Amino acid sequence: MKLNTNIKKILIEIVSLLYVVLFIYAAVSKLIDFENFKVQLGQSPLLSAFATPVAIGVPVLEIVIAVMLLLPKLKLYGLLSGFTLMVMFTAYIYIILNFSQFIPCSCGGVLEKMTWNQHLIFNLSFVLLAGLAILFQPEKKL
Amino acid sequence: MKLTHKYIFLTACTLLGTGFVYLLFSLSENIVQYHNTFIRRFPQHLANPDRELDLKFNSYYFAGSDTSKIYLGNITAPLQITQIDTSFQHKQSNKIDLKEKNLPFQSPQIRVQTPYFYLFEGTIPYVFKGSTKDWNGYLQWTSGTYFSQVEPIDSCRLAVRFLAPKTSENLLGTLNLETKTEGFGKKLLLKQLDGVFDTDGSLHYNNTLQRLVYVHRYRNEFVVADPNLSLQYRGNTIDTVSHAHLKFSKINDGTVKTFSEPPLIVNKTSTTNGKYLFVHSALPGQYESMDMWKQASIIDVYDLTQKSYLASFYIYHDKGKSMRSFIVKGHYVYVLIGSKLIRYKLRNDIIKPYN
Repeated sequence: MKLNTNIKKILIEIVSLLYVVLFIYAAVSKLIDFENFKVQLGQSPLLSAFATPVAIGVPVLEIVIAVMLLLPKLKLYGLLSGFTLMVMFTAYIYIILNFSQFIPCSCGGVLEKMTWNQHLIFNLSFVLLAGLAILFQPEKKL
Repeated sequence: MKLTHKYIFLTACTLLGTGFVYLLFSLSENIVQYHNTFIRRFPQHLANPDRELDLKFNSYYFAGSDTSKIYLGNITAPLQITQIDTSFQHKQSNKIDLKEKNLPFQSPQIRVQTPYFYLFEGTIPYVFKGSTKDWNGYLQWTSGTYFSQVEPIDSCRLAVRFLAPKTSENLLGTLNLETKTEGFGKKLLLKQLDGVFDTDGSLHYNNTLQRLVYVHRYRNEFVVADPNLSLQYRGNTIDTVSHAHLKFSKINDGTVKTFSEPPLIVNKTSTTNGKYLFVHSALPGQYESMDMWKQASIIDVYDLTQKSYLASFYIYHDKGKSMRSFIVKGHYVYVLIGSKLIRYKLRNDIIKPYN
């Protein structure tokens, strides 16, 4: 890691902010149209049976993680949780594209203009960014 | 946190996250297909309206189909049989000529299983059989137990729903027109209340699997049996009504039994083709848009060989009228709505075509 510590710090801040914006936006757009979101999840070939818990759990987690990212003490944990959640979204898309009986229309909300493949790439970039930000965090005692 | 620890953490989170989603996926698949808690799936464009034909009358019913034609009977002209080719280009009507005319005819029905047709009335009872080449009907059956539904099995056997003598309970069975014998499947329909109303449903014969399929009207069950009337299995539709909800009253000094409150219908009409069972359900499931229920009939598709639920699709109302009945043949669903015959094309990557 030869990058200058300042650049690292800035990158961490940018990634955290990106995550905060993405998660808050995603959570709010889900909650505003909650019934519709639940119906869409019920139609998802992957989570139909768990539509209600997932519909509540995902936006709540997104908000909690966004708050963690805003608090300096919890930033590292926030990044790790955001990273994990993003990995899960990515796995979800990958499974839909490769294992599912049929591919649903779209996920709605923020990014409904994207195709599933674009979505996959978008998610992977976010996963990479969070990964980098975690690696760039200065070493300190937990 | 040390750099190596971070790598370990990141790897662990990746594996755990992916594993968790995969676990949810496989659990959900298993629940939806085999232990469904009433969640429907509507794959995009599973069935799309594709052609329609105005028949001018709303009294037609499906009498049968083969690889090239749909056969329609007409309740107001009971001896008329109408043939329409599957692309709706040619329509032809014939009159069935019965070779025995001294029977108390009331409302005969027709079933076609090429190259034969059957004309019957279970409350007399009688069965005529003839060839679809000349449409001449010869009397084959004139006595025995009353019956109320008929589906041809092969050139001499018919699957029927009998009205059991004395009790008038529904009873599945067969008529053999060659040996002139009746067969009874006494344990196929299980009585829950009175055995008359609560066991109501619709009878089908599936040629591909060679199975009788009886779909209950008031409970979430269908019965699958072989042509010798031995039970193969009892399947469940995805709703949760396992017990018929019916209340009765006696009127006219106890001579007439009627419903004292509207019955809870579970499964309206149904049909079977290939390895699939198609059921027009009356009950909305979880996470469904109620607007769609005002605009369309919902058809659930089951795989009879996997005993699983596959998917659902919409048959849209036509000028406020809902679907009366339907059949599936090859790539298509044929629907009678009002005075129209409408064809829907099925997505063959999800529902494989069978003739």
